[in-house]
Amino acid sequence: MLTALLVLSLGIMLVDEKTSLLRGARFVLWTVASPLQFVANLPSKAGGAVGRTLADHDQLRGRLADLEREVLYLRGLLTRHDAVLTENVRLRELYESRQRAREDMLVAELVMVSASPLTITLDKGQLHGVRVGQAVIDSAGLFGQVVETSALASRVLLITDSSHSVPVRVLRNDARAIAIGDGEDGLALKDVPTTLDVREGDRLVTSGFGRRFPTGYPVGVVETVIVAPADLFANITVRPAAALDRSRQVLVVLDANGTAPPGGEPSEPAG
Amino acid sequence: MNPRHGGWLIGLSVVVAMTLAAFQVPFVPNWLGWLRPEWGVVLFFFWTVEAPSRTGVVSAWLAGLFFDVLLDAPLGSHGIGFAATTYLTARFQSRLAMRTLAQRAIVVFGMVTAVGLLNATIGLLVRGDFVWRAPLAGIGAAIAYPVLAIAMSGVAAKRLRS
Repeated sequence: MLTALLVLSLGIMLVDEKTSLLRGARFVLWTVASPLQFVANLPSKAGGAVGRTLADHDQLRGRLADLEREVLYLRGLLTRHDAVLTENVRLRELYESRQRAREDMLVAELVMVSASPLTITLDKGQLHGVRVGQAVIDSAGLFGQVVETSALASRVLLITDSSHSVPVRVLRNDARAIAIGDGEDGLALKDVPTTLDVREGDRLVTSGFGRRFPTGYPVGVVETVIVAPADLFANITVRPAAALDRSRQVLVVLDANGTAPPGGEPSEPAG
Repeated sequence: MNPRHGGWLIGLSVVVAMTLAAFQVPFVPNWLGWLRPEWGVVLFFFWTVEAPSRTGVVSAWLAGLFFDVLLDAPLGSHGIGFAATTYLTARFQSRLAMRTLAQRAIVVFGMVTAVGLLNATIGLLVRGDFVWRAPLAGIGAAIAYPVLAIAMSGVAAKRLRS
């Protein structure tokens, strides 16, 4: 019996890792077990609440004032953004583009962090409209993409995982590249010729190529550019824009009907 | 396991073990999480020593599937360790039952460390990365086992009496 179970384990492990045949089984098992995950997250949630309660009153007033200023500033920006958006929609209609101008978003809370692979678990699942392939962002930039869902929860592969790749463009000059996670807390640009104009401090945004990620979300800032004389490709590291190790609340980018964007499969493993 | 003879208690303890495995502790540095015991191994060791007729390799393996989805591991990866350690515990149950709590805790340390090494090897073969948190999980398990055994032994003896 033990031998049979060991062989069965090895078999389903390989099938589960290399194919999506067991996705249905995982969905059912995870949906049953999801409530336990929420219970397990309660102490962490309570810890955050206690921290907020114990925060100094003056500190909270200061923070409130800061937030009010920020809301005012963002509203100002939004006024201009709406005008630009309207113009953008008009121009896209002129070009008969099917690109959506505004994505629907869903606020989700992080309930668990996993180190290998680099994933987070969110408290929203298929019942809330989350689908495999959808992009996840925080207030600063791209966080990752949904790779697995249950009815009540979902799992997001972070952009810094080594199996994650995202097409990007340099905001300054529209140069295109692929950003791949380094498996720790950063990204690297893959196969960038030494002749391409990429500099330290350049801001990278999603290019929308491959149609896996919506266009224009900040991905990160170029940290170092190392060009060895004999190499054809530059060695470029990128610091993620999103607060991957701090954000507890994130946004899942749904499409207009709450379903996955076109080509909604997780990105191909790098390499 | 037979639900008519306190099987519910074993089931409930497995649910608690799953919750503990996914437990998120606030204000604690990440490395301290490496001390987290392999709760499934500890629990099935306890039940196999205390009530060998109520647990088995199949139930341990099935419970492992739920640990897999909760902890984002490939299906079957927890079951392989749970089933193997439950089998070994059952094989030497009569000898283990006569040992002191401290001696059994040392066995638990060895089992959890071996399972950690096994999972790291599987991770290397299946995912290409070797993540072994040294023997820290084993130390956590060796500390957790006596606490669990003292807390549960009385209840187990009372509820599982046929």
